[in-house]
Amino acid sequence: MMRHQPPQHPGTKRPGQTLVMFVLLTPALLGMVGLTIDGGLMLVTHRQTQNAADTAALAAAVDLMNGKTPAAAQSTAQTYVQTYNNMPNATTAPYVNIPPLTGPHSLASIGSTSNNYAEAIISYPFQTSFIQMLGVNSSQQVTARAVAGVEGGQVFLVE
Amino acid sequence: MRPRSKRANRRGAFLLDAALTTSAFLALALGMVDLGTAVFQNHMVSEASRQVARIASVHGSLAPPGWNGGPWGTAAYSGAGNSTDTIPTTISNAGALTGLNPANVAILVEWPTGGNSAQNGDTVQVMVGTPWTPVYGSVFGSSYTLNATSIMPIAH
Repeated sequence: MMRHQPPQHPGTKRPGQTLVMFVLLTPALLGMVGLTIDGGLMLVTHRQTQNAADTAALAAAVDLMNGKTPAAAQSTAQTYVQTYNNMPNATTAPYVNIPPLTGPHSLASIGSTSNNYAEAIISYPFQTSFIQMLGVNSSQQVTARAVAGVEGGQVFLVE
Repeated sequence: MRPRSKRANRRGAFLLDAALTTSAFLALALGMVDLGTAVFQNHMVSEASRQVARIASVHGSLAPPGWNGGPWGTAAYSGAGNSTDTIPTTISNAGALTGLNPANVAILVEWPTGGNSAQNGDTVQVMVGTPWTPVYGSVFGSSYTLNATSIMPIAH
């Protein structure tokens, strides 16, 4: 017995054509949207984090110049990051290393003079919106570093 | 000659519709991918110029002599991102050229005020450029150079 076939609508002979194109192009489009929007926002976050690191290091160096203790300088730097730069989610202390742990102004490089320098390392979480659809981890982190210090009675951003 | 049926006419109309909409859809989708690549590259070039300027600003006259070649300038520097010179090597190590092909990146570092002293208020100007060749050359043109410039005061 022949099975009754419903009448075909014109065009139903290629029902998967558009679907295949859509499936092939969607990852490319999502990748571009992800790179453009998520990448752009991540660059903005990195810029904010670098600004926060610069201000934190400079604030700590000003405290050092004014004779405050390293602990007080670290506390000031933390306030600059979390309050004045509006980054309450920046990773917890130590925001500031006095003296710096690495680089040409570290204890290993210049000895006790390094106590005049403050190193700020700020990490800030960043959540992607699109790129995770392609398997990329949505929880990213941006990090910025800055070193400031006192030289000849003046405060400089040195690294 | 047999007259064409209504169904055959409809199939022809569908094929024409499909050809038009598919080509329009493909053109839009590939154009978005093409322009998306350009926007992404432009973001990366802008960020690279900012980062290079930030690095150059702490390589003023007071920079420690043994650190990344000591003070940079005041003669203008021009080179490719993959050069083994001090400036491209330093900025590559700092990750400033992420997302770009260093071989295609042109870097120009200048000290417009003629000095590199923080006390004198000197500045450093960085221009980063990279070529962008659209896939849709017939629509967007054959080739462009994406440029970004940053100027920062010397910090140290």
